[in-house]
Amino acid sequence: MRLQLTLALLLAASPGRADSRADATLRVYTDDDDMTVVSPSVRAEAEVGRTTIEASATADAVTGASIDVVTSASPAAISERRVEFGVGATRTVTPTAPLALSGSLHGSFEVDHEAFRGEAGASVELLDRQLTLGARYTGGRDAIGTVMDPSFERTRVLHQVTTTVSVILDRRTIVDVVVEGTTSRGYHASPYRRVPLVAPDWPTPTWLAEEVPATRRSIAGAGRLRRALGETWFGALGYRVYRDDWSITSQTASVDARRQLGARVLAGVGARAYHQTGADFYRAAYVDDGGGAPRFRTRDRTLGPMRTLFGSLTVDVTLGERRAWHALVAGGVLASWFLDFPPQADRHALLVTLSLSRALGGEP
Amino acid sequence: MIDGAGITLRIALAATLACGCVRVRPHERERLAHPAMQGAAWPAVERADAHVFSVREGTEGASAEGGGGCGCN
Repeated sequence: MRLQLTLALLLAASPGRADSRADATLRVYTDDDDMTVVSPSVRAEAEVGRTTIEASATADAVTGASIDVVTSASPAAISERRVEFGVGATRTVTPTAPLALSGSLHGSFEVDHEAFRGEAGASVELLDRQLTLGARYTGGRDAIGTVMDPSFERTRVLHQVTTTVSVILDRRTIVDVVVEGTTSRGYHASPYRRVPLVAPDWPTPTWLAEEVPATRRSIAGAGRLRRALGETWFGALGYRVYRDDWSITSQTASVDARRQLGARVLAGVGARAYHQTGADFYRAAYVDDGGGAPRFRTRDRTLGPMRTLFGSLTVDVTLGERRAWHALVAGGVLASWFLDFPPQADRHALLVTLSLSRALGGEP
Repeated sequence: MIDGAGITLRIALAATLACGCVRVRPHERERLAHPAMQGAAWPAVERADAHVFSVREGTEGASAEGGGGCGCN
C-alpha cells in the first residue's frame, strides 16, 4: 500500500473506538557498502469489545552493490522488492480475569524467498498486576529459491518458544526477563554466495557453493530494567546473551534515556553495543591442504566474529487539540566491524525513520 | 529449550518472591503508566531496528520488548 494512500486514510478516518490507532511509517537504511533499503509500512489496530485486532503491511525496496553482490555468482547491482503482511488478535478472556490470549500470522514475499510465521501466545497478570507472565510459540516456514535457477528450491522450518516475566519492583521500576529457545531445520545457506577454496600450489581459488549445517539450535536470554528517574526523565538498561550449536555466542548491552519535554514532546537517546564470536566452521579463508573441500563453508561475514555499535535519537511530537496525532522522527547510526573478514573490515549505516500515527478513539 | 524453561521458571519464582517485598498499589503506578515506561515506547522504530539487527548481525532473539507488563489499571 503506497504511503500516500495510507496518509489519506489517516486523514479521512473518523474517530472510532477507544485505543484504536493507525500508523504510517517510512524507514530508510543506507550504508557505505552501497546498499539502500526504503521501507514504507502501515499498521492499524482496533479494539472491538475485549478483542484487539491488528493488521500491518510493509514493503522493502532494496538496491545496491554490496560486497556480497559483487563477489557473488552474478556480480551485477541488485534491485529487489519484498512485501510483508501481518494480521493478529489479542483477547482478554473475561473482563475481570488477567488472562489474555493472542495470535498472529505474517507472510513475507519476494521473488526468491517466501516466509510464513504463525504465533500463539498467552499472558497472565498476577499479584494485583505486579507480575506478568507470558509465553508464546512461533512456527515458521521459509521457501528459498534463486533467480538464476528456477528449479532451485529449498525449505527451512522454525520452531520457537518465548517466555517472559515482567515485575513491578517499586513505584518507578519495572524489570523484564525474556528467554527464547529456537530450533531451525533446513537450508540455512545462500544460493547467491560462493566460497573461495584456495590450494597452496594453485594460483586461483575454486569457487564452491556455500554449505552450512542443516540444523541450528539456539537459546537467548535478555533482561531489561525500566525506571522513572524523575518527573520528566526515564531510563532503561538492557542486556542479552545468546548461544547456539554453531558455537556462536553473543552479548548485547543497551541503554536508553527519555525525557518528556513539555506536554507534547517526548525525546529519547539510545546506545547499543553488540559482540559475537564466530561459528566453529567459519574461516576467513578455506584452504585445501589435500583433504578436499570442507564439509561446511560460508562466506557470510555475519557468521564470523563481529561487533556493532548503534546510537539513536528519537523525537515524538503530539499534535492536535485532542492530541490524537503523533509525528515521530528517529535517526540512528550503525557501525559494524568484521573481525575476521579480509574483504571488508567495517561498515557504517544510517537509519532514518519517519512515522505518523493517529488515535482513532475518544482517548489518544 | 528445556534449559530455557528451567531458567524461566527460576526467574519467575524469584520475581514472585520479589513482588512480595514491595507492594505497589494501583494508585501509585502513575509513573509506570507513562508512555516512556512502556515496553516499546515507539513500536514502529523498535520493530524496524530489530529487523535491521536480525539481518546485519549473526544472532537474534529474546528482545526484551517481549516483556510488557506495567500493571496499569
